Amino acid sequence: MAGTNEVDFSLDGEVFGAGDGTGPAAAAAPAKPLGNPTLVVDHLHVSYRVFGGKRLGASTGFKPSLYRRLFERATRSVGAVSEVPAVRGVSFVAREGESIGIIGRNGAGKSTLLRAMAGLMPYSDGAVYAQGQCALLGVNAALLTGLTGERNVMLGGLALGLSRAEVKARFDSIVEFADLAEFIHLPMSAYSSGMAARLRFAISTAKVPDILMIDEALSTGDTAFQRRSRDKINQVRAQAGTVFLVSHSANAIRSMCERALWLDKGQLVMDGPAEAVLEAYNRAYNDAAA
Amino acid sequence: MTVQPPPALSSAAAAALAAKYGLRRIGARPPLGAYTASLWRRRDFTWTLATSDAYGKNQGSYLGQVWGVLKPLLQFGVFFVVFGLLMPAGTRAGIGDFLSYLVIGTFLFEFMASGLNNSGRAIAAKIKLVRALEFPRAVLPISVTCTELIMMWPATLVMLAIVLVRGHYPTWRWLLLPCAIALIYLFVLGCGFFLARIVSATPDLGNLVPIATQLLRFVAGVFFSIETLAADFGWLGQAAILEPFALYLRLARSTLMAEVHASGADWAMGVGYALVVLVSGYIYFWLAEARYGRD
Repeated sequence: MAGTNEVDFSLDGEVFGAGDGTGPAAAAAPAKPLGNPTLVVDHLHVSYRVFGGKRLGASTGFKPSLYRRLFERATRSVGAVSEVPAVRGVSFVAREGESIGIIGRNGAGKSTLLRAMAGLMPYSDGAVYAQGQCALLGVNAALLTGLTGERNVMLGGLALGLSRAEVKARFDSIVEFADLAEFIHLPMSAYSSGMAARLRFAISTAKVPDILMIDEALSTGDTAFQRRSRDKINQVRAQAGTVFLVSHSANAIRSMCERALWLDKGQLVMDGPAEAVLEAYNRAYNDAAA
Repeated sequence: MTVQPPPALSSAAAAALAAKYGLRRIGARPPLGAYTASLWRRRDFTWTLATSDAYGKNQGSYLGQVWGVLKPLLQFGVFFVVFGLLMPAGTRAGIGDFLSYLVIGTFLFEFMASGLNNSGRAIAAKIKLVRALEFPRAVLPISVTCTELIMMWPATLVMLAIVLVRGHYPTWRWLLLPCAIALIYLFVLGCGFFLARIVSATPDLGNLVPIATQLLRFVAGVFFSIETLAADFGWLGQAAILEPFALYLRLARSTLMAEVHASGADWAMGVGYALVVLVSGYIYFWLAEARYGRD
């Protein structure tokens, strides 16, 4: 477990500040040796375009005419497009071998941040720089549910950029990792949510990614699967990769991550050692509840 | 709350740090060459996606894949009743063998129409895949049109059988039919690139695509001879003869039916339409690569 004292945290802060004045050279020599940057997120903004809400008209306070009321009732849902900002100016640097937990309340922008970092969701402003290949595992990252698990393994592997022969060579180990046995020949619509999550995890990590992002995907698996995924995560980190983990479980973050980001309303509240961030997060919650 | 958000690097410093360690910018549009290369590497993925979709489309019914032949046959039956039996014979003027003329027109136009309709929704239909995996998005319009091509095969065999039964025996010109179908495919794919981008940016326009193909069905000469009718319409008639959909139907018919003629200029124009639309559509689609999957 990494050190959780205040000194370590303040050092981290200095590392981040150093880039402004003295350049990246200063960042290369912190107290705890860190690897090279694998992911740089720079003032990232992501907003969703949402159709079909109700247009929020400016209320004048006067009772409008009958014509006007009828017209507005009819057109209230026409052209109702709203921009929903999900991530608002997040910046941080992730390094080789790091495992970073992301915490925050529902709707804080955690999943959107991961998607944007993985290049799956266009962002509106800022920049993301990353090394190598990103793999994102999310609860929503469904493959094609009408097809068999077998077919999904082939599709997923090909989409990751493996060749047909490479997918075939890894097929057995993928099925074994997902622990699906004969279910692999059934359509995914027949799978339980845990089974589908296991298959997704197995497919996404068939090619060991440089950056692995896990969005609550472990919570649906059973204990045996969680242990296997933990091994996989350690494998990624051992190969100088970086792991991101979004979870509502403080224990999962504590046991798998040494650093944590706390997001609230799309903004970064705190970035530091997991233990310290979790403590501050819990304190903020308990204060709010009291 | 006592915690402070950590200080961030300036944008210039972040970019310098990324450049120093060789990080690539995520979400930026790759250059056209690199994009095409990565698209080529995903050809197996594109094809697997297309075959899976083709198989899945007719699942979930008792007759399954038989519908691939039944649907165009029924469509053909409707047109035959309306335009072959109910309408006065004058609408069939200038057509030798109406039955063969109609079956080729119906089956090939159905392929073009469903290719256009489906490629408009190519991104939206696979939005979960887009949000889950990173791959060049041009895979999607290509695989959607490939799906239509795969599903057209059984219908093409039925079409050939009907044409044979009507007494059109194979000549060397039959060898040109695959060329005509290939040109049609490339043209539809090019249109598909345009539609996929336009509809993903403005979903409303997706509702207009079926209306547009419906209009084309009537003006492209699926069930009457556009060449015979065009004489009454001056330059508008000439335009209707030369527009791509009518032209491609004429090319396809000329390979199977002796009474339909297509000149070398017609074939050259067919190649021209396909290439121009394909290349411009591909570039148009690629220009918005960084924006797909936003909603």
